[in-house]
Amino acid sequence: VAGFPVSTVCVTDGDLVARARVGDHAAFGELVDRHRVAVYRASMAALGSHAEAEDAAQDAFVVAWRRLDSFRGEASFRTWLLTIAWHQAINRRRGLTKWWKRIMPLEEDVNGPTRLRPADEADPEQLASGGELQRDIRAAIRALSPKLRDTLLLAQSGDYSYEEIGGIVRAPVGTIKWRIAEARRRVRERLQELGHGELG
Amino acid sequence: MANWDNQIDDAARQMTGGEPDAGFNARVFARIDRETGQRRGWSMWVWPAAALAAAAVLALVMVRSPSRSEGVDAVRVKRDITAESKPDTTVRLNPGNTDEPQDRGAVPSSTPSAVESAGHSRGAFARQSYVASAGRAATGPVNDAVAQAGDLAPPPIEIDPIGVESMEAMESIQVATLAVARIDVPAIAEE
Repeated sequence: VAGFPVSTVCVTDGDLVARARVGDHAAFGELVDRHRVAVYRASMAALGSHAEAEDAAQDAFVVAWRRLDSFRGEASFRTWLLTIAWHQAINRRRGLTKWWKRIMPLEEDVNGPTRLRPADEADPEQLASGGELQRDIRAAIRALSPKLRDTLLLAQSGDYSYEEIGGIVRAPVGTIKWRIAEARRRVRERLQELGHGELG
Repeated sequence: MANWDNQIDDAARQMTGGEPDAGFNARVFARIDRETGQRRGWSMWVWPAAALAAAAVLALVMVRSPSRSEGVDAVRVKRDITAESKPDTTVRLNPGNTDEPQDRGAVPSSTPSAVESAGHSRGAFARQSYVASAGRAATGPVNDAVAQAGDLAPPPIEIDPIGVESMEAMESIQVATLAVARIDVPAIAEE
């Protein structure tokens, strides 16, 4: 058997966790392979930067490896891992926000990259193009409150169910649904303020 | 509205799109190995160091344990000294010196008159410290304050005899016996 690749398709996360707990790096590598995209996208939803999201995802896997013994199996390994990843990303975002506020004078804009471009600066010709619309939508999403923005981005990343999102951000499923609807409504309002009223 | 929502969802999807590159797993395991190595290295020297520290503490305790009784004696001697200075403070606050605490506010404690009136410097210090700590007592009758201070005085403390051996050095001083001539006193005759 030695020398032949062993298929792990039918091996559950629980089995891999049990093997990883006794020091099996290959088992943990399989877990990393299975969940790295979901972990990365959760981090991306919180941080909005590829480099920061990758660092946070690495942090999440390292912390998960260190805390494997504390995984009880009450939730799925994926949910447990995503919760760790989310906390890592949020902590990193707090650090970045503090850093941003420290380097920016108080009288200037402290929202940094989330600042919306005023409507009167918009070029009508550019508004007609789809690229400009997408840019304004992204800016409007970034300008949302963190709770609404995080929920909307997690939901649209395509990797998580509402139940999983509720577990990650510690909110009921009903609240998750409301936040998504409210986030969309606010983005629509902002787009109409910016002159994108023709889509309705 | 559905068109708007589709546009919003597309933009949100793009904002969270992508995935880590091929080297992601290797970087994760490099960090895990580095951390495991650090922990292993830490555990290699921390146990001998902890054992050494425990042995040092044990040795220190064993060395200090015979001298513990000496430490108690030292404390007792210190308390005795305090007890000795206490009567000094109270004795000098007698009714004959009732005007001294009131005068002290005008006269600095280091003036010659203050030292002279105190007699001994330690007694002067004790009196000054009493006045400083209980300045409000100067407004009331001093006799009452003296009586209260006498009530507050701690009970006498038994002091172990110390320094008896040093008295033997005094044997070197010999006093010659004085020869006193006998004085005869004549009896007084009854009249």
